[in-house]
Amino acid sequence: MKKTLLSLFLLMGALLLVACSSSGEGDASGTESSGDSIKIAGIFSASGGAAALGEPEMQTLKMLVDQKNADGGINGRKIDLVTYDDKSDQNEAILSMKKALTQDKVSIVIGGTTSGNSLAMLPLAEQNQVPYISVAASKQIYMNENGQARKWVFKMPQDDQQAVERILQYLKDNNLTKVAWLNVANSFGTGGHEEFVKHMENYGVESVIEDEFEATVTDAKPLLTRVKKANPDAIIVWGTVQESAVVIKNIRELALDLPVLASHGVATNQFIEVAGDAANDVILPTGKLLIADKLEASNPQKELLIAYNEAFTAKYNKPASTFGAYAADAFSIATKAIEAKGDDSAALRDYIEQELGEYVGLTGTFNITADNHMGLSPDSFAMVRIVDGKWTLEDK
Amino acid sequence: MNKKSLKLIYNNSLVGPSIFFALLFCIPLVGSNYTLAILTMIGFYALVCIGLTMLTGYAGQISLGHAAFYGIGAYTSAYMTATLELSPWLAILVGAFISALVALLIGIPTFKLKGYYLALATLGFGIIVYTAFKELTSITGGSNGFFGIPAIQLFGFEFVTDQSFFYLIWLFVFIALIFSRNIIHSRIGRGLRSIEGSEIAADAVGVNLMKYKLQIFVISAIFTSISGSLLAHYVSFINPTLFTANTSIYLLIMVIIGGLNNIWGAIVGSATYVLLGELLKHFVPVFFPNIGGEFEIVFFGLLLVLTLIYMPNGLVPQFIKIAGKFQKKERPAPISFTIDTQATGGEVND
Amino acid sequence: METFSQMLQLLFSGLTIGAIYALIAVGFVIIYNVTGILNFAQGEFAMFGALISISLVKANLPLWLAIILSIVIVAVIGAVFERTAIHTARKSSMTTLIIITIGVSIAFRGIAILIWGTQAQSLPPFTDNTPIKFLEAVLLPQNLWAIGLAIVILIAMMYFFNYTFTGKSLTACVVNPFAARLMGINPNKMSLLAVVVSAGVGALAGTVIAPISGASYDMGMMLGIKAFVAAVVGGLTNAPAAIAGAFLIGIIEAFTEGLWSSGLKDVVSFSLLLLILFVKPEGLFAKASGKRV
Repeated sequence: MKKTLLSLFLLMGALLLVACSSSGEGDASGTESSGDSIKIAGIFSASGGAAALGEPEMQTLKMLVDQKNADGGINGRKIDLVTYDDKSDQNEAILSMKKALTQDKVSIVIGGTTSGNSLAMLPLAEQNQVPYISVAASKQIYMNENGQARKWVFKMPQDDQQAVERILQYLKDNNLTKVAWLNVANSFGTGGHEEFVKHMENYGVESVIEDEFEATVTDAKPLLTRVKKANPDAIIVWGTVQESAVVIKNIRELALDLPVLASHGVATNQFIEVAGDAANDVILPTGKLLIADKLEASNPQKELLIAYNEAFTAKYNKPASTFGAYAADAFSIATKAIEAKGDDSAALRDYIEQELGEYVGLTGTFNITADNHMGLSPDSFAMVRIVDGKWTLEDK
Repeated sequence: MNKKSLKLIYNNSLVGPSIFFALLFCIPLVGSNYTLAILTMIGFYALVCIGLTMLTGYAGQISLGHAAFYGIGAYTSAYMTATLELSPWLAILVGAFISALVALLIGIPTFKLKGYYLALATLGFGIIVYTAFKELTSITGGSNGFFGIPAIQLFGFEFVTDQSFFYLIWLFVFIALIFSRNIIHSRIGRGLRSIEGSEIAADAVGVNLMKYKLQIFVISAIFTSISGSLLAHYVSFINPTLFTANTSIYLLIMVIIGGLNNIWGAIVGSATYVLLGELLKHFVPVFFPNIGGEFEIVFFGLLLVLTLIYMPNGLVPQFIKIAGKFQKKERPAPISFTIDTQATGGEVND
Repeated sequence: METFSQMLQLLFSGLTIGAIYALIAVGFVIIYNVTGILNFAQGEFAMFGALISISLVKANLPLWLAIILSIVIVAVIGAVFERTAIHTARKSSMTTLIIITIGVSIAFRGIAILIWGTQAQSLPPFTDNTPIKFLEAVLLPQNLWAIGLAIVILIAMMYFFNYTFTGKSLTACVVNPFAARLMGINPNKMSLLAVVVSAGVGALAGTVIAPISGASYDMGMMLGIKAFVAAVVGGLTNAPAAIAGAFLIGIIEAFTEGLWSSGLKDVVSFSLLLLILFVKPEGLFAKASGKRV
């Protein structure tokens, strides 16, 4: 057994040398790739802590690339997609990015499931001058400290700020001025918290209590006793599916009969499945994917959303999510740019920033400009309420 | 422990390390940036593991909380260079100092405990520090992370390219390696080896166990902290998820796989961990197109278990054995005088 | 919410989570006492128990059957784990054994992702789950199941270890394996038995917690660590002490979260761990029997 194991190690070492040497060397600045295929990279957290977000993103991208190639590729050229799973680990994300940029020499990178990984990956995109479309939420990703757009970085999801502001608007419209804010203790949660604190006054909302719950929370009732004591008009629970489900279930169990608002992180059917009855009457902002069938026929997004939903569920046997939609939008925008400009990275970047114009995607209608590399406005969100296990439009 | 293996352990020549590092430093001339990035990553882990190997292999102490020192170094550097705008080298020193202090505070009560209890204490301490990183948002940025750590520079030269950082980190590793070997061959090292042989005997002879264990713990904390500081400048963005209990566990895994009995185990272990990850990333999609990172996790876990069951002393001893096979043939064994003492059963040897 | 109700609620929540920790901690303690190994993969048994029972329920088995079957399956997994990983490496050093169990837990987690994916899933509660109200505090029947089962297991363990031959044999293996062998007790068999029982109890813990807080591939790690802390705080030397420690940790966590801050919950638990380790390493509730510290 020892010998087998040892020879296994040596074999792997040999394979590694082969792998490394076969991929060329030297610096790359993302210029024309060899051969007739277009190279793009997808780097997502398909396993690890952020897998619930990253897996649908990865699957969506693969599905769309396959579809496109089956349709003949872009301008007759096949798309060569390299995907990397960074396992929700920042160092892995950096290494994958390096590999994609310097060895695979891709023309454009899509990915960075978590804000942390996106922030770690973007300096490499800037150094290597390759456009990078992020699928994470933080504003810092596409905007630097001076409020200017980072030249090589674009972002698909709405900012947390916009989601929070939709919630604040709803609170204001419904005269709920004293709220309890609870967020999950990770970067998704603290991102939302930061925006909440920054903007709540503008909407006349004050927080009577702000606290965190773990992503692994099993019973949030101790926390909720404090919430109950603080006597809020409404409770905001900002997290992704599993932990939000626990907290919201606990809220209903404690007979806290208050309006509960959640983040767009629970905008998936899986939430209803896990939370069960407690999911009813939860209100949240979401991209229009979930209520696609309720949109007016004139809404330009409707057809796209339904098509994506059907394709995804048919292929992967589970409901589509807004996270996958981010990857889909990134891909379709990248495709449009490649159709127009080929695979020169600098040209692609310029196209997306200057010539894309108004673009109807799954997440919303994008208006990317030199100053705004995200391009979505708050009305890309719809406020929905869960009624009887179904998504219904709350207003608009 | 025969004379041959003793010689290997006490091998103090500079030849080995010099050859290795000379070869290593030639790589940037031929390797791609990606190769350099991988090797740099190995370098960071190697620096940490050198300290950890000394702690685990020579001092016999298990630490499941070393990510805490990694993080202390990283956040100190981040805070001092980005927020306070001080020199990065000062920050590295301060980080190392803080880590050393914390190590002392934790070490003194903890080293009185035996075996597993130390592992738990360091696990607990590691999680407490991790929570501190998450909660002290004004200094660390909390879960949102710390963005915008400036590059490290020396007399105006900025270490931003892959090549420059490669040299920087491996220079530190080299220094750490030499320093560690000197410790091992000093009185401290001999004291520790005696502890490993038998604590009671060592104690009886007057070896001050506590002092030696503490010294090694502090040194390992300092190495780890320095590595963390350099990491912060390399990635320019850090967040608490880099310094969790999982990180500490993976560090320990690297040390064990490399081999506890030899300081080179640190480098071999780190290299194995990183390269294995890269290898799996490269080849798994070829054979199993639809499986993602999960398979890598399983494979890694299984490989770890198998390695530990069948190669419990890690990889380095295996390499030494193989190297031994290439050396000149052994002289025939001298005539041995064996006195057959068959104490049981009263059988007479024919 | 007025103070008495709040205290009551915190007590209920603390007891519930303490019960979960207890069920996992029992497994730890049994394995540790018989084999000397700290099993870092203990939490994963709970994870498997939860996920397997969920799959069985989805395959239309009645809940009670699904739970029993999943416990059996996890016990088998435990047996395989013992025979392959622990038994073969039993002569290795402590450090190696710890890392082996860590490696196994990593592999288990990976297997869980492969089979069930990353999404969280839910198990129906054992009985009708309408909350029972005490003033303003609320106790769910599922919580009662958790607490009840923990107490039942506690009593069963006490009986088992003190009044049955097999139980005493297990203890004998700890105190003096050589003498045990002389008495005809086979430590290898005992080791297997210990792991199988621990795995089963761990699986039970998983099925009890799944209706309360869902199940996913990564639920095992934190549960395992917390149960660890509980076992050490209570005392690794015997099961009842560990269970008492678990309830203590659960209550302390609940009260910290309820009266102070959730973020500092872990700090409090682990600081308590450190305090106990420094001051009374054998645990708060351990009998002064001088075994295994």
